[in-house]
Amino acid sequence: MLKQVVDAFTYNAALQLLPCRYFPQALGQMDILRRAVNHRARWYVVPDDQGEPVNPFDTFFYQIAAADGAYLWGYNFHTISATSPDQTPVATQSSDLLVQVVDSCTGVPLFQDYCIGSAAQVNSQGTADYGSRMSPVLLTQPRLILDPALVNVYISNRTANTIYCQLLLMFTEPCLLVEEKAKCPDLC
Amino acid sequence: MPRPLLTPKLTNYSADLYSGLMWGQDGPQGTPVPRNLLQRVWPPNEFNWMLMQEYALWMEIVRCGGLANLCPGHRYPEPPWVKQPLQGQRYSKISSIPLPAASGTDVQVLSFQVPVGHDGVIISNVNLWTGTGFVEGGGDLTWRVQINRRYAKDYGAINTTLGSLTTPYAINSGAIRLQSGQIVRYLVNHAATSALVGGRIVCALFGWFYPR
Repeated sequence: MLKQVVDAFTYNAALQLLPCRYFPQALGQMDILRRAVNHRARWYVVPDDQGEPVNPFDTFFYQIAAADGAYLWGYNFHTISATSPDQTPVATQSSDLLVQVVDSCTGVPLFQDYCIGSAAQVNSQGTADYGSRMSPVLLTQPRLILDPALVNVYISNRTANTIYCQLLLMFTEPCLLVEEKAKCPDLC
Repeated sequence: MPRPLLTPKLTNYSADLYSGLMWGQDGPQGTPVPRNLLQRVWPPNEFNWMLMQEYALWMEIVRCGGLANLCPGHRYPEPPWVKQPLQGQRYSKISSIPLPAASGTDVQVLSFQVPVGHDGVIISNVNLWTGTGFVEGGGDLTWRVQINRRYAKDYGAINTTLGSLTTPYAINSGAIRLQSGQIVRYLVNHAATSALVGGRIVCALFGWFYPR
């Protein structure tokens, strides 16, 4: 009998044991990764500067340089603000944007085609479907990222407004042994 | 050169090998023991082995040329999105509508679906208005190439005439790639402030489909 994994998911007060729901099922797929040692969390935000806009009717291109052997296991997405063509603030929602993530090494995309932003968004408190999707959105299976460990991200704007958003990609990457002999042979 | 996932020396570690060693001393086989907690490395467990097996499997797939080489499907000697393959089918989608009302809404001029099981490319396009008085870039007319619900990169807000009835515009000497089942639309937006009247909007897309 394996011991229960103690990590941030264990402490998630919103995580109820409802085995038929998506979140516990997807979390179960991460069991090996959670039980392995010497991995550390690494979260990337796209775009790097949240003041960088996704222009109207345009697609924003970005590339993440992750570590070789890293696993992409979850994501979060949210729009921040938007301005209309005459530069006045307007309301925006995640469904105004479309998201695609592609492993540059294998060329395999995360989604079959661009995924609507609202599908990548956690349903936060105050929204109509609050609680229907837990934070973060988990992949059905963690995605191994191989050398050169580049991940291409595309965010497409399908409105006439300039939109600011943030995609949070959650990785875990292997920690390599600190090779002190190689780094400072005189000290060892 | 790919970096090893874990130092190979670690693979022989077990917890009892640490016994009797002080922090900062050399561990077995010359591997240094961490000097402090920030440098600690736990001995890999069986789950690390499973991850390493997956890593090795994917490295083997990459070594064999990637998934595209291993999975069933067509093999093209040259990228089919660059040069039309023998199995490729050329298409020419041309359509026109009367100038829509100046409402500022997108109106569809042309639409087609990529055949299932085929991918494709758009290699050239045409968008123009046959009337007179249109100021290029003036904003009265805006054309958009839409693929499913997104807009093709740099073709989401075209406010100039591209190509002509006899000579299409080559898309940046490249192509816009299409996937099986995608719906491609050519839209035009007639600005609400426009004074244009009469004439027809003409849109065309050219390229080829090829089986996967």
